[in-house]
Amino acid sequence: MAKKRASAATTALKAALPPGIKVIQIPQDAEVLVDVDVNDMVIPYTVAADGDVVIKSLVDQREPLVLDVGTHRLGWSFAHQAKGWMHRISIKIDGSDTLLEKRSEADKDQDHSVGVAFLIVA
Amino acid sequence: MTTRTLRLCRIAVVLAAIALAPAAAFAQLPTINRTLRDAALTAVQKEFAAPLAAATTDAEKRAVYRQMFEALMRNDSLYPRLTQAGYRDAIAQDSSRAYTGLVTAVGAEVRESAISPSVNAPLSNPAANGLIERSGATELIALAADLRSLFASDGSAVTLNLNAVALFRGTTRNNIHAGAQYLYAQRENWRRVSGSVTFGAKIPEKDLTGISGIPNPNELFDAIAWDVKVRAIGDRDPRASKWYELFVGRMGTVTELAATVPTHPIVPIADTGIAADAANEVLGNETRMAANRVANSLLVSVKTSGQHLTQEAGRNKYAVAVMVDKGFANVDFTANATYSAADAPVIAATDPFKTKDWQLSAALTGSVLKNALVNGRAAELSAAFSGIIQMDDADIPIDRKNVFKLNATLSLPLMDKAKIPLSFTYSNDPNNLEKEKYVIGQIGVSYDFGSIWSALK
Repeated sequence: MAKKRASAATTALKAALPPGIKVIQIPQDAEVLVDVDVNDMVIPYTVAADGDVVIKSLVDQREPLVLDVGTHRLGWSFAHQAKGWMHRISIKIDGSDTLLEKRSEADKDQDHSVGVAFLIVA
Repeated sequence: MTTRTLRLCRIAVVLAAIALAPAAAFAQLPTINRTLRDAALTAVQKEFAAPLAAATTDAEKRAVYRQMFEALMRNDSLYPRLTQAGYRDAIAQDSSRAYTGLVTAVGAEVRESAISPSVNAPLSNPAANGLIERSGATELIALAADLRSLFASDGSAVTLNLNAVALFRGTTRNNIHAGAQYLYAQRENWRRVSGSVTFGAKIPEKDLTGISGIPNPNELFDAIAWDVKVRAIGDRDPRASKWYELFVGRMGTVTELAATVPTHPIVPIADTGIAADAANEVLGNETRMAANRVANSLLVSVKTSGQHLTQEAGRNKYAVAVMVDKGFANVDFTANATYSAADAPVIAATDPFKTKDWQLSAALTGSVLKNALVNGRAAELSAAFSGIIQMDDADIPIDRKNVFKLNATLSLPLMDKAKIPLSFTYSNDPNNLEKEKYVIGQIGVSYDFGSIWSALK
């Protein structure tokens, strides 16, 4: 029953948001980790949930997300100055990896990015 | 009573810390005080409430959110107030908490000509192509070969450049996954010192003494040259502690605002994507401005050098030089001033004497053809002017006149850290008995081992 309600919420939210913004459904008791891999950074990157900083760092980090039932916003921001830069941010839900964003100089991506994803816990 | 009061105070401090903790529960670097940020955000939202309500399209809303971000960034209270030591400690602590990590080559995402180090030694290497020497030096070790013989008969020379930091073992980091700035901070002052040795050069008499008004000024001599260079002011490496406040302090605050504001409860869910797009635009502008500030910063180096004829006793030239680099828009200006004294040959009926010169040079260097030859790299194009002003004493038996040179050099990138400089130099020489005006074309190749070394150590 709970899963059905979450799916409906997810569908409704996806329809209301611009394309490209991920909406991820998370079971209530799941273990959720934010995982960030970077190549040498000189500007700290930030990962935030609902306006609060989860990670602010210059190096690879992995941190747990403690989320109540409901809809949450996860945001991230990267800016690069180093040669050969790369960043990859993903969310692990009970060990299962969902890629949120991967950018690199090698792929000729823009050297800065701000992204958001919606997490629906139900 | 006093003890109880103290205990209550401690409890109050702990409770206050817990209350403030959620904003920085997992943060590895200092974050903005949440109370301050929320107050600033509320004030900005109030200020822009009317324009936001009036905005009907996504583009209009994005423009308003962009103004809101810019207003937030003008709020000085949001930026950390750390000392240099404070930033260094924060970076070290952040590195020690890394989850995983690889350390790879670091260059700067600023224009290539701005960070281009001198991997040759044009002011002291008699066979070098180019007239001008940049203030920067190799990160660790670099080799440069001047293949002058392809165009003229002056032989070839090889220059080995060494940064003082290469004399030390790599920083131990078995138990940590260190960040770029953390590693660079190790022996940062030693990175200011570099030196070079040039061997294999064959130079004409006139290049050593500046005397071309003799019967055989083009006679070649075997020579070695050396220099020791110290960067006295500035550092264009974005990892340098000079830039902690800009990158970790200011830009770290901008990235934090860009990630926290679009997800903040104060921003309506429907506006999340628009606010993120606006933050991305602002972040891009700030990133470009920060890169330009590094690229255009002042560099000043001083060096001392010597040239010695290996098969002629007592024939040496010593020089002291000051090098200045300053960027303007997308061009780098470089100026060199060199004072040198050289042992002149024994000319009939005179005692040995020294020739003394001031050499003043200036050049403009820019990056061209970015990504055209090597992905992520650009060619460098420079134009230089140099004047050699004679400072001889009155008792010098030869009357020397000033010499002027013009040079154009195009350095083509090759692979990750190699360059192929092609240069053409025009020179007048009123002292030369043949009154010739000549153009010399040169080609060279250089390789900076800095990146490979960093990856392996």
